[in-house]
Amino acid sequence: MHDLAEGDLAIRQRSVTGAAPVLELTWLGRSVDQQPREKLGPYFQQALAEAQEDRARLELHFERLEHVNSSTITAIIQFIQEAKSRKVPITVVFDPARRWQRLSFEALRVLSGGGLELRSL
Amino acid sequence: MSVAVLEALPTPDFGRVDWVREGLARGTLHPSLVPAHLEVPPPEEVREMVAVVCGELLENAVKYGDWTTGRSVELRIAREARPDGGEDLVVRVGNAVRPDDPAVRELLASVAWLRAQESPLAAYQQRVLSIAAATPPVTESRLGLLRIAYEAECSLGVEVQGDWLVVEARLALP
Repeated sequence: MHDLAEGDLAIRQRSVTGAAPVLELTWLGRSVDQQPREKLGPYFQQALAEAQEDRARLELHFERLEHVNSSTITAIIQFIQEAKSRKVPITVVFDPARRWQRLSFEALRVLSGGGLELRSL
Repeated sequence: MSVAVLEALPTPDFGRVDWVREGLARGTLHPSLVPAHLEVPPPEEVREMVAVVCGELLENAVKYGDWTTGRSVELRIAREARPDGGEDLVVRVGNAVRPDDPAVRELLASVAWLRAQESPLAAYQQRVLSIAAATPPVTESRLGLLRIAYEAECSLGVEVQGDWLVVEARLALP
Protein backbone atom coordinates (compact mmCIF):
# COMPACT_ATOMS: atom_id res chain seq x y z
CA MET A 1 0.00 0.00 0.00
CA HIS A 2 1.28 3.47 -0.85
CA ASP A 3 0.28 7.11 -0.54
CA LEU A 4 -1.82 8.68 -3.27
CA ALA A 5 -1.25 12.12 -4.78
CA GLU A 6 -3.66 13.28 -7.44
CA GLY A 7 -4.08 16.94 -8.30
CA ASP A 8 -4.91 18.85 -5.12
CA LEU A 9 -5.72 15.65 -3.24
CA ALA A 10 -3.33 13.51 -1.21
CA ILE A 11 -4.13 10.37 0.74
CA ARG A 12 -1.56 9.19 3.25
CA GLN A 13 -1.71 5.61 4.40
CA ARG A 14 -0.48 4.20 7.70
CA SER A 15 -0.72 0.65 8.94
CA VAL A 16 -1.09 0.02 12.66
CA THR A 17 -0.26 -3.54 13.59
CA GLY A 18 -1.09 -5.40 16.77
CA ALA A 19 -4.07 -7.17 18.23
CA ALA A 20 -6.46 -4.80 16.48
CA PRO A 21 -4.78 -3.84 13.20
CA VAL A 22 -5.87 -0.66 11.46
CA LEU A 23 -5.23 0.67 7.97
CA GLU A 24 -5.53 4.45 8.15
CA LEU A 25 -6.15 6.56 5.05
CA THR A 26 -5.78 10.26 5.82
CA TRP A 27 -7.23 12.63 3.21
CA LEU A 28 -5.59 16.01 2.68
CA GLY A 29 -6.27 18.95 0.39
CA ARG A 30 -9.20 19.11 -1.97
CA SER A 31 -10.84 16.51 -4.20
CA VAL A 32 -12.36 18.21 -7.25
CA ASP A 33 -11.70 15.68 -10.01
CA GLN A 34 -14.75 15.17 -12.22
CA GLN A 35 -13.99 11.43 -12.61
CA PRO A 36 -12.49 10.54 -9.23
CA ARG A 37 -13.29 6.83 -9.56
CA GLU A 38 -10.66 6.47 -12.26
CA LYS A 39 -7.88 7.14 -9.77
CA LEU A 40 -9.56 6.42 -6.45
CA GLY A 41 -11.21 3.17 -7.56
CA PRO A 42 -7.98 1.15 -7.98
CA TYR A 43 -6.58 2.71 -4.80
CA PHE A 44 -9.68 1.73 -2.85
CA GLN A 45 -9.50 -1.81 -4.23
CA GLN A 46 -5.93 -2.10 -3.03
CA ALA A 47 -6.86 -0.80 0.41
CA LEU A 48 -9.74 -3.25 0.71
CA ALA A 49 -7.56 -6.18 -0.36
CA GLU A 50 -4.87 -5.26 2.17
CA ALA A 51 -7.37 -4.72 4.97
CA GLN A 52 -8.96 -8.10 4.23
CA GLU A 53 -5.60 -9.85 4.17
CA ASP A 54 -4.47 -8.26 7.44
CA ARG A 55 -7.93 -8.54 9.02
CA ALA A 56 -7.60 -4.82 9.67
CA ARG A 57 -10.17 -2.10 10.24
CA LEU A 58 -10.13 0.65 7.66
CA GLU A 59 -10.12 4.18 9.04
CA LEU A 60 -10.87 7.04 6.65
CA HIS A 61 -9.70 10.33 8.17
CA PHE A 62 -11.33 13.33 6.56
CA GLU A 63 -10.82 15.87 9.33
CA ARG A 64 -8.02 17.70 7.49
CA LEU A 65 -9.72 17.62 4.10
CA GLU A 66 -10.74 21.06 2.83
CA HIS A 67 -13.31 20.28 0.16
CA VAL A 68 -14.85 17.45 -1.84
CA ASN A 69 -17.06 17.67 -4.88
CA SER A 70 -20.20 15.60 -5.36
CA SER A 71 -18.42 13.08 -7.57
CA THR A 72 -15.97 12.32 -4.77
CA ILE A 73 -18.78 11.94 -2.22
CA THR A 74 -20.30 9.39 -4.59
CA ALA A 75 -16.99 7.49 -4.77
CA ILE A 76 -16.73 7.50 -0.96
CA ILE A 77 -20.28 6.14 -0.61
CA GLN A 78 -19.43 3.36 -3.06
CA PHE A 79 -16.21 2.59 -1.18
CA ILE A 80 -18.06 2.31 2.12
CA GLN A 81 -20.66 0.06 0.56
CA GLU A 82 -18.03 -2.21 -0.94
CA ALA A 83 -16.21 -2.46 2.40
CA LYS A 84 -19.47 -3.47 4.05
CA SER A 85 -20.24 -6.08 1.41
CA ARG A 86 -16.71 -7.53 1.79
CA LYS A 87 -17.15 -7.47 5.58
CA VAL A 88 -14.22 -5.11 6.12
CA PRO A 89 -15.02 -2.95 9.16
CA ILE A 90 -14.70 0.73 8.29
CA THR A 91 -14.60 3.91 10.37
CA VAL A 92 -15.17 7.40 8.98
CA VAL A 93 -13.59 10.17 11.06
CA PHE A 94 -14.58 13.79 10.46
CA ASP A 95 -14.44 17.22 12.07
CA PRO A 96 -17.91 18.46 13.08
CA ALA A 97 -16.56 21.99 13.50
CA ARG A 98 -16.39 22.16 9.73
CA ARG A 99 -19.93 22.65 8.53
CA TRP A 100 -19.58 20.75 5.26
CA GLN A 101 -17.98 17.79 7.01
CA ARG A 102 -20.61 17.70 9.74
CA LEU A 103 -23.47 17.73 7.24
CA SER A 104 -21.94 15.46 4.60
CA PHE A 105 -20.76 12.75 6.96
CA GLU A 106 -23.64 12.85 9.46
CA ALA A 107 -25.94 12.16 6.51
CA LEU A 108 -24.03 8.92 5.91
CA ARG A 109 -25.54 7.53 9.12
CA VAL A 110 -28.24 6.24 6.81
CA LEU A 111 -25.63 3.60 5.79
CA SER A 112 -24.90 2.61 9.40
CA GLY A 113 -24.54 -1.04 10.33
CA GLY A 114 -22.57 -3.80 8.68
CA GLY A 115 -19.29 -2.64 10.20
CA LEU A 116 -19.57 1.09 9.44
CA GLU A 117 -18.77 3.47 12.27
CA LEU A 118 -18.98 7.27 11.97
CA ARG A 119 -16.84 9.14 14.46
CA SER A 120 -16.73 12.89 14.96
CA LEU A 121 -13.70 14.41 16.69
CA MET B 1 -28.85 47.05 -0.06
CA SER B 2 -28.12 44.83 -2.98
CA VAL B 3 -24.77 43.67 -4.22
CA ALA B 4 -24.73 41.95 -7.55
CA VAL B 5 -21.69 40.35 -9.03
CA LEU B 6 -21.12 38.55 -12.23
CA GLU B 7 -18.71 35.94 -13.36
CA ALA B 8 -18.74 34.59 -16.89
CA LEU B 9 -17.32 31.33 -18.13
CA PRO B 10 -16.68 31.54 -21.86
CA THR B 11 -15.41 27.95 -22.09
CA PRO B 12 -16.28 24.67 -20.35
CA ASP B 13 -13.49 25.01 -17.82
CA PHE B 14 -13.82 23.06 -14.56
CA GLY B 15 -10.61 24.67 -13.31
CA ARG B 16 -12.25 28.07 -13.54
CA VAL B 17 -15.30 26.74 -11.68
CA ASP B 18 -13.04 25.59 -8.87
CA TRP B 19 -11.25 28.96 -8.84
CA VAL B 20 -14.57 30.80 -8.42
CA ARG B 21 -15.78 28.37 -5.75
CA GLU B 22 -12.54 28.59 -3.79
CA GLY B 23 -12.46 32.39 -4.03
CA LEU B 24 -15.99 32.66 -2.68
CA ALA B 25 -15.29 30.19 0.14
CA ARG B 26 -12.21 32.14 1.25
CA GLY B 27 -13.86 35.53 0.84
CA THR B 28 -11.14 36.75 -1.53
CA LEU B 29 -13.59 36.96 -4.42
CA HIS B 30 -16.29 39.62 -3.95
CA PRO B 31 -15.68 40.03 -0.19
CA SER B 32 -18.62 42.43 0.23
CA LEU B 33 -21.10 39.78 -0.84
CA VAL B 34 -21.72 38.33 2.61
CA PRO B 35 -22.89 40.72 5.35
CA ALA B 36 -20.24 40.98 8.05
CA HIS B 37 -22.70 41.40 10.92
CA LEU B 38 -24.31 37.95 10.78
CA GLU B 39 -24.21 35.93 13.98
CA VAL B 40 -26.10 32.76 13.04
CA PRO B 41 -24.94 31.56 10.61
CA PRO B 42 -21.60 33.33 10.85
CA PRO B 43 -20.20 34.97 7.72
CA GLU B 44 -17.61 32.25 7.11
CA GLU B 45 -20.34 29.60 7.03
CA VAL B 46 -22.42 31.71 4.65
CA ARG B 47 -19.40 32.07 2.37
CA GLU B 48 -18.97 28.31 2.45
CA MET B 49 -22.65 27.78 1.64
CA VAL B 50 -22.51 30.23 -1.27
CA ALA B 51 -19.38 28.53 -2.53
CA VAL B 52 -21.09 25.13 -2.49
CA VAL B 53 -24.06 26.56 -4.39
CA CYS B 54 -21.94 28.29 -7.02
CA GLY B 55 -19.63 25.33 -7.44
CA GLU B 56 -22.46 22.86 -7.96
CA LEU B 57 -24.52 25.08 -10.26
CA LEU B 58 -21.50 26.03 -12.39
CA GLU B 59 -20.42 22.40 -12.64
CA ASN B 60 -23.89 21.47 -13.87
CA ALA B 61 -23.81 24.31 -16.39
CA VAL B 62 -20.43 23.20 -17.69
CA LYS B 63 -21.52 19.55 -17.90
CA TYR B 64 -24.97 20.00 -19.40
CA GLY B 65 -24.90 23.38 -21.14
CA ASP B 66 -24.91 23.84 -24.89
CA TRP B 67 -21.45 25.19 -25.71
CA THR B 68 -22.08 25.28 -29.46
CA THR B 69 -23.86 28.65 -29.19
CA GLY B 70 -20.75 30.57 -28.17
CA ARG B 71 -22.57 32.05 -25.17
CA SER B 72 -20.85 32.15 -21.79
CA VAL B 73 -22.23 30.63 -18.62
CA GLU B 74 -23.29 33.49 -16.36
CA LEU B 75 -23.12 33.57 -12.58
CA ARG B 76 -25.01 36.31 -10.81
CA ILE B 77 -25.20 36.76 -7.06
CA ALA B 78 -27.29 39.37 -5.32
CA ARG B 79 -28.53 40.33 -1.89
CA GLU B 80 -32.24 40.97 -2.22
CA ALA B 81 -34.54 42.45 0.39
CA ARG B 82 -37.49 40.40 1.62
CA PRO B 83 -40.87 41.88 2.60
CA ASP B 84 -40.26 40.84 6.23
CA GLY B 85 -37.19 43.07 6.41
CA GLY B 86 -34.67 40.26 6.08
CA GLU B 87 -32.43 39.57 3.14
CA ASP B 88 -31.95 36.70 0.73
CA LEU B 89 -28.68 35.82 -0.91
CA VAL B 90 -29.65 34.76 -4.38
CA VAL B 91 -27.41 32.85 -6.77
CA ARG B 92 -28.46 32.56 -10.39
CA VAL B 93 -26.57 30.57 -12.99
CA GLY B 94 -27.65 30.92 -16.60
CA ASN B 95 -26.47 28.91 -19.56
CA ALA B 96 -27.50 28.01 -23.08
CA VAL B 97 -29.29 24.68 -23.50
CA ARG B 98 -30.94 22.70 -26.23
CA PRO B 99 -34.58 22.86 -25.14
CA ASP B 100 -35.13 19.23 -26.14
CA ASP B 101 -32.08 18.03 -24.19
CA PRO B 102 -33.11 15.21 -21.81
CA ALA B 103 -30.82 16.80 -19.19
CA VAL B 104 -33.18 19.81 -19.03
CA ARG B 105 -36.19 17.58 -18.43
CA GLU B 106 -34.25 15.67 -15.79
CA LEU B 107 -33.29 18.92 -14.07
CA LEU B 108 -36.91 20.10 -13.92
CA ALA B 109 -37.98 16.68 -12.62
CA SER B 110 -35.20 16.68 -10.00
CA VAL B 111 -36.24 20.05 -8.61
CA ALA B 112 -39.90 18.97 -8.52
CA TRP B 113 -38.92 15.72 -6.79
CA LEU B 114 -36.81 17.56 -4.24
CA ARG B 115 -39.67 19.92 -3.38
CA ALA B 116 -41.94 16.94 -2.77
CA GLN B 117 -39.62 15.31 -0.23
CA GLU B 118 -40.12 15.48 3.51
CA SER B 119 -36.93 17.48 4.01
CA PRO B 120 -33.64 18.21 2.22
CA LEU B 121 -31.89 15.77 4.58
CA ALA B 122 -34.39 13.02 3.75
CA ALA B 123 -33.89 13.66 0.04
CA TYR B 124 -30.10 13.63 0.40
CA GLN B 125 -30.14 10.39 2.38
CA GLN B 126 -32.47 8.80 -0.15
CA ARG B 127 -29.91 9.56 -2.84
CA VAL B 128 -27.08 8.19 -0.65
CA LEU B 129 -28.96 4.91 -0.31
CA SER B 130 -29.64 4.84 -4.02
CA ILE B 131 -25.93 5.35 -4.83
CA ALA B 132 -24.95 2.64 -2.34
CA ALA B 133 -27.43 0.15 -3.81
CA ALA B 134 -26.71 0.77 -7.49
CA THR B 135 -25.33 -2.14 -9.51
CA PRO B 136 -23.26 -1.46 -11.53
CA PRO B 137 -21.99 1.60 -9.64
CA VAL B 138 -23.41 4.91 -10.82
CA THR B 139 -21.03 7.23 -12.64
CA GLU B 140 -23.04 10.43 -12.14
CA SER B 141 -23.57 11.58 -8.58
CA ARG B 142 -26.74 13.65 -9.03
CA LEU B 143 -25.96 15.01 -5.58
CA GLY B 144 -25.35 18.62 -6.63
CA LEU B 145 -28.85 20.01 -6.25
CA LEU B 146 -29.32 17.99 -3.07
CA ARG B 147 -26.18 19.50 -1.56
CA ILE B 148 -27.50 22.95 -2.41
CA ALA B 149 -30.77 22.22 -0.62
CA TYR B 150 -29.30 20.29 2.31
CA GLU B 151 -25.82 21.66 2.97
CA ALA B 152 -26.46 25.22 1.82
CA GLU B 153 -30.11 25.38 3.04
CA CYS B 154 -31.31 26.96 -0.19
CA SER B 155 -34.63 26.80 -1.97
CA LEU B 156 -34.30 26.08 -5.67
CA GLY B 157 -36.02 27.44 -8.75
CA VAL B 158 -35.61 26.73 -12.45
CA GLU B 159 -36.67 28.77 -15.45
CA VAL B 160 -36.27 27.84 -19.11
CA GLN B 161 -36.82 30.53 -21.74
CA GLY B 162 -36.15 29.22 -25.20
CA ASP B 163 -32.55 28.09 -25.24
CA TRP B 164 -31.59 29.82 -21.98
CA LEU B 165 -31.76 28.05 -18.63
CA VAL B 166 -31.53 29.80 -15.29
CA VAL B 167 -31.23 27.88 -12.02
CA GLU B 168 -31.78 29.95 -8.89
CA ALA B 169 -30.76 29.11 -5.33
CA ARG B 170 -32.08 31.33 -2.56
CA LEU B 171 -30.60 31.44 0.94
CA ALA B 172 -32.55 33.30 3.62
CA LEU B 173 -30.31 35.45 5.82
CA PRO B 174 -31.52 36.35 9.31
